[in-house]
Amino acid sequence: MVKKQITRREFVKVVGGGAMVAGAATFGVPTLLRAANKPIKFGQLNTTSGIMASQGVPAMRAAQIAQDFINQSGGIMGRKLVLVQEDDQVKPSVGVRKFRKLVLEDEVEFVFGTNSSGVGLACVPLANEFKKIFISTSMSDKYTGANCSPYVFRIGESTSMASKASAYCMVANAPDVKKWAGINPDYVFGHESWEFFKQGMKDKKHPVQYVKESFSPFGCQDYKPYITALLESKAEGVFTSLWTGDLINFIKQAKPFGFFDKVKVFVNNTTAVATSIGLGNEMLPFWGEARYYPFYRDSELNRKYIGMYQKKFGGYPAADTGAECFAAVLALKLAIEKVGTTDTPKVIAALEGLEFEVPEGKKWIRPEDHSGIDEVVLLGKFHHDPKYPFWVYDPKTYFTVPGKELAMPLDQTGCKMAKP
Amino acid sequence: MPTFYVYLITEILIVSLFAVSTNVLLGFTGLLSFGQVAFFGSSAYAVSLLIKGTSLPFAASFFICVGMSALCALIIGLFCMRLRGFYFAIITLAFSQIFFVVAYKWSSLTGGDDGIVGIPKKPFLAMNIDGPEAYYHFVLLVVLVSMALLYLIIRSPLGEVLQAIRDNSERTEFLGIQVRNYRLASFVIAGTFGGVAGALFAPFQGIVTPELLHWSHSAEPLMISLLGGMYFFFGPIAGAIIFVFIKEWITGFTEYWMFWYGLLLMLLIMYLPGGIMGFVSEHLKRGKDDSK
Amino acid sequence: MEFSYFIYQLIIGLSYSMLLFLIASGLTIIFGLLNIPNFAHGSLYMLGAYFTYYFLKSIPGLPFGLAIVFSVMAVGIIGAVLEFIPLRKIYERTHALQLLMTFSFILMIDDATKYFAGTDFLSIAIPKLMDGAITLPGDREMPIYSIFIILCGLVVAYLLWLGLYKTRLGKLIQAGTANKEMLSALGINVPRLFTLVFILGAILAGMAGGLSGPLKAVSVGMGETVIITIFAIVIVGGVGSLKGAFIASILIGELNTFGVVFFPDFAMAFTYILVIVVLLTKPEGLFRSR
Repeated sequence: MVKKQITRREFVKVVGGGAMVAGAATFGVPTLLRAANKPIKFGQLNTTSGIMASQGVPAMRAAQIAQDFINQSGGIMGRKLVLVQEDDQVKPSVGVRKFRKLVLEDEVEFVFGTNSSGVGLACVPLANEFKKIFISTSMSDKYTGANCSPYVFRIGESTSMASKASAYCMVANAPDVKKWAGINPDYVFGHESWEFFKQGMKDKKHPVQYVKESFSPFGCQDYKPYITALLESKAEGVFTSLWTGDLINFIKQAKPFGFFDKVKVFVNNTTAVATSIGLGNEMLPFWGEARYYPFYRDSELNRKYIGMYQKKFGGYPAADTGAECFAAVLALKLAIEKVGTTDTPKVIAALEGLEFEVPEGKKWIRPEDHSGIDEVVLLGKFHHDPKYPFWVYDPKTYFTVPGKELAMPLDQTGCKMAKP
Repeated sequence: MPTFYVYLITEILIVSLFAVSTNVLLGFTGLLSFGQVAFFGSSAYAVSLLIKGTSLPFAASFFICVGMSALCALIIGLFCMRLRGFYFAIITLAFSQIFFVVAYKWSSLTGGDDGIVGIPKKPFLAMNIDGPEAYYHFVLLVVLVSMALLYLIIRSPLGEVLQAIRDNSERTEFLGIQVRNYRLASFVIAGTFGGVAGALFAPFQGIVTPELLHWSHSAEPLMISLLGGMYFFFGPIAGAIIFVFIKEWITGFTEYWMFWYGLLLMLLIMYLPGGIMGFVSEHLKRGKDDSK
Repeated sequence: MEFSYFIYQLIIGLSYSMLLFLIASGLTIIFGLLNIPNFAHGSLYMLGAYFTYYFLKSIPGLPFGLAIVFSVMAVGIIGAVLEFIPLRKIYERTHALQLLMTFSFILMIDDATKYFAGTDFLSIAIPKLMDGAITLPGDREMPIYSIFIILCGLVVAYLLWLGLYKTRLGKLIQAGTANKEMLSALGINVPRLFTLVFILGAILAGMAGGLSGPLKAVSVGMGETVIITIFAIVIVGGVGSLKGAFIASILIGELNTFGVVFFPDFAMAFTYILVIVVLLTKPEGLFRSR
């Protein structure tokens, strides 16, 4: 990562400058001035190697855009923002080691990131131990449930929000589809997604029948047995929380079976846009939900985010985690400026209840459980539009659910927030 | 010492113990096992479950898990002992992957891929081990004792027989030695101390996940032993120090760390096939010869 | 359970089996003769898919088959380089060291691919001619491309059998697999034979990668997702045995398919259980060529 080396060099410069100022301090320059020149460091954990690099690399890039965006407009309270980015290799044990490194070696003030809840949840005890704020960009409900902590925030949609939104969308758009089936990844996220989808159906008191539930291992190479079993169940609607390469493998293998003609609706609760880009012309008209969809909201911030990303890296910032990383950096900046300090308890207080604008709309951080809640969650049905380089949602099918409607009621989260 | 290095050294100690125990098989018995994570990981899981789920003192949980690892190694070893070479590697891998699948699928017990989070560091007998420094001292103590025991074993007549088996198993068999029993003993020893390392690792990280049981994690102690020099008792320790530091350093400065890491590995194998200790001892020998 | 559904799943499983065989055949030949457990075989498979993608993208109108031929040539060259420079140095070393060496190839190949191709998923379309499916009795669909994969597997198996049993080179490979000393005694240029065989294995892996392109997301790391299954096939079938690899591929492919359909909760462990059972009853695999 070229960018990183530059920031390191800059860091050396800044440290050198800091030493000079420190020298001056002994001659009576107030401490405040010294602090004013010191950059504020944020640490980021995402996966940039191996099979999950497709998620982590765009997340790192989106955070770099946030860094440029903030530094170009004067930094945070006049102080420069410096990102320190580390590869967690999707391994919780590496994530833990890197978290320690960020806090102890690089002396970052805040940590955010991870694209896997496995890694993110492993970081929660460390955030408590070091009394550092950790903003998760992965989806688990546990950050704001049983594992909730004053130091831990989840900035974006949770598994339950995404899956329930998918269910609500289907109740509204395919009310006559009564026979449902699921194909989900065989790990916590997939099982939870499926349960929350069913919960969403129940919320709407929609009478449906579940004819098949299947779970496939991560990195599954052959989906044909799952596909044929789903077809055999005569399901009319299929819900999936498969994502990244797994979803592409599934779609590519299902298509020749006429799967998408036989099944009336197919809905996915994650990474829909990245899937569309990956599949190119082989994309199909199914329903998708993404934590970030580039073309829905025409705001200045969104244009700027996309523009800066395209200029620096080319292509669209399609990765969901990327937008969440952008939001995390922004939230921290706003909270720090609100209280005028990087002091952890004060920033926590500022983050609680923070309302702010992100590229995809408005976000609010619920103070009681530290859950990020979007103004709306958006779904849509993909179609081909020659204006765009890949399949996008048909604007006629936009379906939005207010985030507050999706957020788990406070008495059900299971969160008992301690004092920081 | 800065706290970060306390953590890093604690980790190196645990990784060294795991590698030295694996190297009892690889370097001193001539058995390539790809399944040592089964003992490391299951012990880490068991100790976490006992700490979180029962009121047993940590010391008791610790020894129960070590005993369990020994038993597991004995049972799996009995099955695997008929096989040699790469077949042995694959059957140990298959056994360890079954442990992985169990940890992954039995989510009501193990938490699935989210694992078990928040494992506290309860006092060990009268010793307070909470906090990075205190835990480091505890690990240092346990690892030193374990290493001393392993060293004694390798230098004992048992160790001599194992090395004779490694060098020529047919001839050893011919001498009337039950090669199979000795190999089994070696497997149990490696598994037991792998279990010690696992039981140390769980409270250190505060979390256990199925990743600890995945076959790719088995490659780590093997790599460390080979890099450090598998024919030397202290080889894996040298390997662990270098392995952990290089990885920490190289992953910090480039996104393409895998490439440089791979290149370094390849060059080391091509030019230092005896590992670091092999290289050093050869030079020392050459130095001595020159001075004569 | 209907009998026709059973037969249907058997055919579905066969298409997966044949894809596995295409990858495993190269590995078992390399392992048999060179005695190198090549962990990077999966990476060569991945490269096959990437090269096919790029040839199709950069030469408009290039037929799929020709793209695979080009891609296979490219993978063959990479295989030659790997054999010629680093691998040659470690033929006499332990399996552990050889594994580590080929593991270092995985790291380098994966990261180089990431550097040149990026981290986005790429997709190869099913060739127009083979898009769609035929309807089997019982109103069940069978994708034409999957039938094509089955045919490819059978043709490659037949050609390899011909090559190994009817040509001089094949007989040398067999002789060498059974007894290395014999080759040098016969005055054969052993290093050259080894290079040739490694290239042949790489070509088979590359071809499997290209052929599986239309079924998968082409991505960095796709090699690692298959490599353990492929090693399981080679070991269950017996190292160096083509027949063994063929039968073990069918066993593991069908086991996976039926596992998913009938015992989904345990399907993940089936391959490993099969490996354990086979090794305990036939310690050298089902068809060790010796």
